[in-house]
Amino acid sequence: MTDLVPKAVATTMDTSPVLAVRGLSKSFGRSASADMLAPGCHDISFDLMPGETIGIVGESGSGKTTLGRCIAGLLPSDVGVIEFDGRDIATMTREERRDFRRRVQIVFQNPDNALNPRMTVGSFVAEALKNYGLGSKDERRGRLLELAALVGLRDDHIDRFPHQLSGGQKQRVSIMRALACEPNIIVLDEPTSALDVSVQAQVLRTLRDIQERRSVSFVLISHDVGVVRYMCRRLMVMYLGRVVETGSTEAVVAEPAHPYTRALVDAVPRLRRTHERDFRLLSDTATRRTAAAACQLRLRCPLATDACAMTPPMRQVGDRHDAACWSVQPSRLGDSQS
Amino acid sequence: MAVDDRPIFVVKGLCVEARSDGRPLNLVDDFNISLSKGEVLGLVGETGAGKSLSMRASVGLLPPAIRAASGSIYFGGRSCSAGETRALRSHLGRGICLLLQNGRSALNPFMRVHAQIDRILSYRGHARQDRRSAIDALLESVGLPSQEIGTRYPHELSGGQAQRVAMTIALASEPLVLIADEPTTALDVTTERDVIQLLLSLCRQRDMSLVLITHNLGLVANNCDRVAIMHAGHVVEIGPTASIFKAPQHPYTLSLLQAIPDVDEPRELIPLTGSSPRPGAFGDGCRFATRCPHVDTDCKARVPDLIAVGDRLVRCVIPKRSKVGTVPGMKREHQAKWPAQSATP
Repeated sequence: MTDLVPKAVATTMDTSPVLAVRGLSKSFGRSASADMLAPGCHDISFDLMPGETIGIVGESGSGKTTLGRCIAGLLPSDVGVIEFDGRDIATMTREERRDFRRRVQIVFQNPDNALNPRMTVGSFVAEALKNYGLGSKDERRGRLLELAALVGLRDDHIDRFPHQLSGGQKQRVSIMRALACEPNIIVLDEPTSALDVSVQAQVLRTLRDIQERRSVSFVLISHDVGVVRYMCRRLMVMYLGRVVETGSTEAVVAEPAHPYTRALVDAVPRLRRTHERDFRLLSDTATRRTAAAACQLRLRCPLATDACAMTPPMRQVGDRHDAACWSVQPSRLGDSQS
Repeated sequence: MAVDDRPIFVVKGLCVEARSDGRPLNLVDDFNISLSKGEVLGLVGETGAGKSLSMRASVGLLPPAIRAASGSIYFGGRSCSAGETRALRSHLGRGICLLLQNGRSALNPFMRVHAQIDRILSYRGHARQDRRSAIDALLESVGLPSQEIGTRYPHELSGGQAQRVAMTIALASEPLVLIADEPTTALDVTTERDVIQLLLSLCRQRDMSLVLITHNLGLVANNCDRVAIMHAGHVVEIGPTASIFKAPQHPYTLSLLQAIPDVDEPRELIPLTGSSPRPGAFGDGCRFATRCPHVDTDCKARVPDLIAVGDRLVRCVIPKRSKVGTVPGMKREHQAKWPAQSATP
């Protein structure tokens, strides 16, 4: 039976992280002017435990997809270290890297672009198995059936082409291929934003069921706070390339500390009027970008002061809940814990 | 909000068809809405439900292979048949305006913002010397600094800015009815909230009616007076937003509400099985029958009529069976009883 809140990994404390990201930066092109931050992500650090789901939320241009692609090894980082299973992915040997590629998979937002229109579901997924020499031909067929059942596809879907499937089914095929090689981590880059709500619900439930059965870790990138709240125990909020708040999803959503998170949580349209707070950023009609050395939210933040000309450090605001904002009073929890 | 009861825009019995292999393929069937002055109507449903298509048909903007087979549209004091494309289009820019999903695609990429608005005003017969101040006033009403934004080209605008400029252009012709087709889907949530609230305050100021087409039920819950829920070309439930969200009567409405992850109180999602039937595969009965957890033989025999249930219309036989209670409401006491594994037994 599934719980109403995402399950914590029972042994979070005494296992080592499957993925450790330290000071990761990746930027593209040049910024508008020399002292501004280039698009991309900057100075990101976090750990991912086996079987855990971490959510990454932020608006478009916040660098969440860049971060996801760096983790999946699709983009080399400029600065910083990504350690998978204790090994730095930048310095892996050929064999190690091949193993890494098998064990870290990615599911893209739009399944239409991710599937090969000329290959049936079966041959498309079996290609991944073949590539890593997993199983004989007969074993592979059995494996395909097993995988199809796992992601909620019927046996007869295996012989279909992508154009014969609906959007939700295509996304299941993407997930199926990602799962084929028994990965340790799947990066889910907006896996449901191209889907309708009823289909989104099916896919999200499937993902949670899969996680309970196989202890795979997810990095869930989304702009939908509701989706992240449903899927993740822990959450990172990004704004223009930097992480501005991190903590348990429950705490971040209930007690957001950073002004961007507050505005984000308050702006989510709700079905029932359960939410009274209404914190707003200044209108988006002015320029957003500010100097790289400053807090990136500065020009839109109603709480901005002179102090915001310097990038605020991450400070603890609650139990394992950190935010990067000068306006936030750091909690004393940190003293008592350390 | 006081709403003048006389409808100013009415769509009656609209039926939209495509031709495929010489046979008509029904896309939207028996579509009826009426809009009072200053009213905000939400039109929600999943991809392919016919939300955009029905509204496009009512202003004569259907794509070439698709036509309105029957129906009539009342606007501006007279009625005309849904097939009279030319007459319907004549309302556009003169009383009815469309606002589309991507603001930037509604703008001419080669013209500065000022010039685009100026052109609309000149069509409307504003004298040259008055236009500049009118442009400034319009841009200001959508919260854009005219000096800074006016000289820009569309590619120099952010998504939210482009949508606001598109809104300015729609407002420049002082419409009575604004049809906004997913106006905020391409925007970030914080911007979305600002743009929607701006849109609503403009409607209120100008006593303008709004049809808000969206798949985001949260937006509708907070902003619309009435809501129409569409599934596979049919309106399945229509009525006051608050009461529909409190106690949905159609199983599809309920399942949509149950499929949305709640931000404040996470609960298990209850997904529908399968997906909406495609045009051509609707069958003779209720188009929701293949996905409905309460389906029985009545449902497959013929399309249920829209029947009045309390303050709304519902296209379902369940309320008539007077067992409304068997459709679980969104009340909290029901939540704990929901089966954990699957919604369908």
